[in-house]
Amino acid sequence: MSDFEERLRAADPAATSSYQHPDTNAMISRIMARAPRAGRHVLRSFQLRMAGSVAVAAALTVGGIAALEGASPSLAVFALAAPHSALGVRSPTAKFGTAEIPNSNIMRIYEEFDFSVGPDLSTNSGTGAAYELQLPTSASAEDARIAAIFGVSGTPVDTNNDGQDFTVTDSSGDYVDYETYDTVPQWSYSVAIPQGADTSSTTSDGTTVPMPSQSTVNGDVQNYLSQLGYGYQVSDPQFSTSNNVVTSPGQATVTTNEEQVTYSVTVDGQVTDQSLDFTVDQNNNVVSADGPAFSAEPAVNYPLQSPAAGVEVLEAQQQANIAQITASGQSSGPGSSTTPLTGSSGSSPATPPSTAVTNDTTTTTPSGPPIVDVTLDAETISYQTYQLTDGSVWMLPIYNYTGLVTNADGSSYTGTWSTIAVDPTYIQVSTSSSGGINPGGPILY
Amino acid sequence: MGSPQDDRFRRLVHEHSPAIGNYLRRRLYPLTLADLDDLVEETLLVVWRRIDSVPDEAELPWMIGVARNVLRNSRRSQYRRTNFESTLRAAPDEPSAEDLVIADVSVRDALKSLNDDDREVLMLNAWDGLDTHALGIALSITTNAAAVRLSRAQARFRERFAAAQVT
Repeated sequence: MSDFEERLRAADPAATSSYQHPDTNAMISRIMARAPRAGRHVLRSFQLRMAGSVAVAAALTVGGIAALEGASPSLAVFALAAPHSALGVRSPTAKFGTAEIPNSNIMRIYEEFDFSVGPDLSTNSGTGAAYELQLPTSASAEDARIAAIFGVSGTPVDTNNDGQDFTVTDSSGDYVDYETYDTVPQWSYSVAIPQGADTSSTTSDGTTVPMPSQSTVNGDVQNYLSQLGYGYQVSDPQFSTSNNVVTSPGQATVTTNEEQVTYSVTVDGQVTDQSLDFTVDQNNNVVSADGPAFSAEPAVNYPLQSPAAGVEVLEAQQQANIAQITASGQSSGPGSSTTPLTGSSGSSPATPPSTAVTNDTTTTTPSGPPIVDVTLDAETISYQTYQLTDGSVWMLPIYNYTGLVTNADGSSYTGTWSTIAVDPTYIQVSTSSSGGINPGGPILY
Repeated sequence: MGSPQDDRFRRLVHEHSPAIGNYLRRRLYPLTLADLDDLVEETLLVVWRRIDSVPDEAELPWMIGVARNVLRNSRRSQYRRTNFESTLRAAPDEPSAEDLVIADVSVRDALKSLNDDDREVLMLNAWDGLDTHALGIALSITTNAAAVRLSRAQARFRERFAAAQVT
């Protein structure tokens, strides 16, 4: 073997330590449970990591299915497909490709929580809207339609040969991608990506130039939304600008000035778990865009449980989780290779808990993780997507609670947890036999 | 007891997930190590959905071909997100740049000077252990075409490597 071959092989970045997944068996169970080869909608695996703690009517999973006699005969019961219902709140500001970037909204079992109802939570129940979603029936046709809107010429190509990811790419490299891995299909458009990223250096010190106004960009977005014709609205725009200077050996330096905006997608003014992104350059040319593909049917009003009752549901689910962990002998405490994370939106990172905790607000489960008392004292309502056992997709209202979590070392962060707001009488959850997945609760690693 | 496909999938994961993870880890830029487990799982999800298509005699290169697509899609979108995301939140768990750098400066500079295709076929051969037949499967080209690509890439790398050592 020549010197260069020896040096090349020896330079392997993975030579010193081979990759090992933190829990291969759990990963296998998740995959096999999430993606039966029968061919129904498949969820992106890393969406599981996006789940917060959506307790889906915990009373139904603890001690069996609750009686449904109280349900109004005129309102249908939502029979949630349990693995899908495990999805929690998705941050509208974080995306990973056409699915989601695993952000800090990951509830790994590094610490257990004992929830209590704060004084500001209402005990009054009311009613709220539920929306059935209409999704495009043909992924390739929808890909072609969206490509035409963005001026991308070409024929949809089945990217992964699975009928769930189609891409139209024109001669210049601009493309429109359409994927149905998510419960709600996602589309994305982008101009050709500069090549040679591995050999290039990218800095943000390019020349600052005047960019299109925010109202101009908003107008662009509204124009494209009108053409897409889905009917949903957008709100709460978050703008930012960037100057990307890409330098590659032997090639001219390329500077791209961009203005980006992320919106929350709304239905009837209600914030959903969907988001839409839009990026233009200094000449107001669209550089990229992506969002969901759905239309919402007219609202159906359902009785809601009170916010206070929702906390009790969360607490019951947590206790069920602890009992399950204890019974199975699992431990995901300090012995785990995972990194401790905050709840949905941490103001500061959680610190690793010690195995022996003697804090006023914490105790320790027999199998390891400490239990932390959290008083949930504020809530908002948003809408979360769920797939039912009959294959239909709905957006249902959820309560998003916040509460202060104090760690054993005295540091604290604000965590968020969610639960379905619809009266549990109208919710039916299928029990899941898949290992490693706890329907409606935090994802166990 | 699961079906034969279930058993096969479990064996594929246990046998090849380290190699898939290593393949992805070597090419993560501009993604980070925090994304690695998810990329591995997404790759294996596709493998599970297409378990009947995995060739018996070329399981690993076929799976690497899936990982290439997964990585391509993810990097393509991450490129759009990088600057926007960095304005939203810090990433305290991201590894330092040294973790993703090839320590041998001459090798690193020589690799960086190659185009994407040359670099990829070299890395697949030298680091992922694929011979020309396996290269063809992973890259969806013939074995002969893979042999030609590898030969040319090695020649270009040899020139750049020699030049990098002189400077």
